[in-house]
Amino acid sequence: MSETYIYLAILLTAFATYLPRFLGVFSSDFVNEEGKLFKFVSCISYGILAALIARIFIHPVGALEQTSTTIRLLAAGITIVVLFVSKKNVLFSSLFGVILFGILNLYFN
Amino acid sequence: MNNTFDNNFKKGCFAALGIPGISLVASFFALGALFKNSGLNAIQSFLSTLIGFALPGQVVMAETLIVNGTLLNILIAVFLTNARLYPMTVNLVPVIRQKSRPRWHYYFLAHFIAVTSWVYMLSNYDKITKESRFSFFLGLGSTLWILSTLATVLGFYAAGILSAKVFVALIFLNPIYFMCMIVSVLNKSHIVATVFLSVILAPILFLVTPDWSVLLAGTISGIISYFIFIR
Repeated sequence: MSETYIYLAILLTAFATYLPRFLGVFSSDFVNEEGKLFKFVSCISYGILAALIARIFIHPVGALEQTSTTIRLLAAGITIVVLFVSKKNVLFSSLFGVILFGILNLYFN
Repeated sequence: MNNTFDNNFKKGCFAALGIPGISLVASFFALGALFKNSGLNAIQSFLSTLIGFALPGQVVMAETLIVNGTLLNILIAVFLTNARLYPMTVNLVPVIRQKSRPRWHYYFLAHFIAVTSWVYMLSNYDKITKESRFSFFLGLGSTLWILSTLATVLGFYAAGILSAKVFVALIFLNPIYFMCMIVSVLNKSHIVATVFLSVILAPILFLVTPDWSVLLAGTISGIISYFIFIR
């Protein structure tokens, strides 16, 4: 793989990443914060984000693929419980979740 | 720049230095290691986050390069992966919009819209006055971008020093953080319904169409929830 090829790949990735952002700013003219369209777009955005997270936990790509699905889901489930017990302390719960996952992955994977 | 802008910008920068920054640094650190293993050099790793700041798309690029995918493969795969940025941007801009600002400010700011900055802003915007939101988001997003770029280079050089188990745990911080942020702001029925439906649909649709499962699950869930709870 040549250097030029990698640079082209990086440029194309940047283009494919900025394009939806550019189109999003362009389309946002038709949306106001109080309108129904705003709520509609909120639903779609949260839906896609939730799907992305579910996919990472259940069908990840890359390094997480080598870890056990049970461990990932167990760590995520216990973290949600901790989040509510800690009165929605995101910092504490996130760190708890990652440490729990690290320990489970170290000893049971 | 006036003092109000400066103060709000600084508040955004400080917000980024908390858990949003820690979470992103961990993930981009791991990405830097992945880049090294994918055949990129340090400058290319740096450039990738500098101009193409959105982690899932960068991972897709690296993995497509590993399997010798064509440039067209990369373009399509990254666009599909990052298409979520379209509704996210449409959703965010009205929140931070100031009528006095020229349009190009928003096109510039759009580069900093990614899941972490979006989740943080959408979860906290009601605590920030309308006039302060643009500068706050600029501080938040640009700080996250700078931290991520630096973390990518650090991760590149640290590849092989940390054990694989530590790297995997670092990667896990980002989805865990996203999950906690989203669960912590589930207070509107249409969003709760969307999230639940999407979490159920995404793995099912993955079995049918892995490439489109995230976009389809999110869109279908969003449409169903909208028609049940809003319309």
